[in-house]
Amino acid sequence: MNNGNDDIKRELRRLDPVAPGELDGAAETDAAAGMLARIVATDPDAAAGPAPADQRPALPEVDVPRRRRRPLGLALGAATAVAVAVLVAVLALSGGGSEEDHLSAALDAAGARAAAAPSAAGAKPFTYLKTREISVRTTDADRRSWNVDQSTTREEWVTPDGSGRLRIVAGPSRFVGSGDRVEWEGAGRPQFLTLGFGGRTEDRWISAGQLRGRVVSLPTEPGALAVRLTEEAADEGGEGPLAAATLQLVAEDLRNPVASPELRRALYQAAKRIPGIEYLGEVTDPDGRNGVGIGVTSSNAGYPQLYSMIFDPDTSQVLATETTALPGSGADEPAGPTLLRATVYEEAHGTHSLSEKEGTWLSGFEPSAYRDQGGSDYLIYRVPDGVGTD
Amino acid sequence: MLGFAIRRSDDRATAEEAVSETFLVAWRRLDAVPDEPLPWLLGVARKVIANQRRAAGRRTPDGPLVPLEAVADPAPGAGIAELVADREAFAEAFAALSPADREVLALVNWDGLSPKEAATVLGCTPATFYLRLHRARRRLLKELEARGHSFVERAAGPVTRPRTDATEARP
Repeated sequence: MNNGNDDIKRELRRLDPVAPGELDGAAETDAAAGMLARIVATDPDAAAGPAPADQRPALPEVDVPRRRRRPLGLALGAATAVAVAVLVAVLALSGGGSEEDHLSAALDAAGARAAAAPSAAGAKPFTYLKTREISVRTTDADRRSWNVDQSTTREEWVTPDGSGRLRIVAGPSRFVGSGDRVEWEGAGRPQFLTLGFGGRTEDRWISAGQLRGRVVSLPTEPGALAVRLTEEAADEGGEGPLAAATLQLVAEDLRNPVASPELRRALYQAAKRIPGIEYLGEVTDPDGRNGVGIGVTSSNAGYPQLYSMIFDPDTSQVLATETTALPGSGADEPAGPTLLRATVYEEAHGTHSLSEKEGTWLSGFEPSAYRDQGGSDYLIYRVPDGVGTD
Repeated sequence: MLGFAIRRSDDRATAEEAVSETFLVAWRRLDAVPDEPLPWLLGVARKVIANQRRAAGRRTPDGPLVPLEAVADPAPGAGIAELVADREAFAEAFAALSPADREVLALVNWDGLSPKEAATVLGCTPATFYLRLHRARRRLLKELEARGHSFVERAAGPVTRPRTDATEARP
């Protein structure tokens, strides 16, 4: 059984507890007619008032003519019960709650975990954050097009004043799929652009206040926090939608090692208030780690894009943020979504040294204190002779 | 509607009850029923069924039971033993998925909804539904592989790739 999608669909349909044709004609039975008659005999305005809130679908309400009788596909006839026994609860869908329910429950649970977890920085003097940035770049040449997945590892060692060391290592590039290599070879194997490809390392010192010091001033009341984050996202003025930029700030602040438990809980609560935020269910991050996804979609780029955050519901740790291109909504058989960019959070914790993670590469590298003529204090990062970037 | 309810209820009577309740809700809220009513109605039915389960104090079952009829239905030329083993494995793989993944696959393959209609039932955007559908299929394939089966997704044809960096265009 290896004929691909058609086989899978066929086997899925074979599991359907309702056999083909089983319900044919059921809408024309006396039982169905009787039920319909009982329903329409009730006064819709006086019968029970509005439906209970939990019976209202989370759908935009649309004005329609007061009533057109429609064939409603009422199907209540006889049929064999074989499939019913099969499926009893094939689906039994996690309580069947609304998307809002799932979103709220997931964020509430993560927030509670966050509130109970100690700050990642602990009592250590510096913090360390390691992320991997993934970017899929498209190149066009000679009527051909191919995608290359470019990975960059970013490490930050941050001092209490927000200054610190930043090290960026560009990893090897790779074709996203075998078809991309074929396209590239068909175009005559042109050289890749130099920037961002191949091995490259940057290592530099960042002045005070530049690296993630902002979380200490954020409010811990979710409403105020949501407003603050939205304002900051707007100030940054990125290319993507405001909601996506706000979600990215939520993720970064959640992963900041000095974020307090109270702030982290508030961040999960604030995420609920991001316009258009959706629950994405169980997802896997680019490192293969399982988590829960939330995200917003936008077509600002000319095609649908999903901006998502993946977090571990058991630890409340953010695993990754992703930007994914989605197929349009017209076709029944969508091509797979394409990951465009991702930030994978790999480590976040306190550390005693600004070179702790690098072993010999930066052996002996420690900042020294410096006071300028104006009386401001700095930490100076001194590069020993004979050591350079690789 | 009844098929949708049967697939998600413990028994036929409960499913019929859910259908009746769904249409009653629709009757009371006629002004809210859109021109294309089916996805809207299924969305209501989904909540009605969830309420039924809560009221009955039922726990969510762990997975589907496999219909013996389906497992033992031989295809011409296929060895019975091999076929039965394959189908059992497929059913097991399907059962191993999360309820959310099963729902996504069922809406398309059992209820026959388009992704757009299915998105309406779940209350999410079509784009999000596409993503869920893709991931559910991928996880089903992984479950199948874990059971030693070699279903493979159809190779993707030429696709229009979104441009991520216009500065990279080369002559």
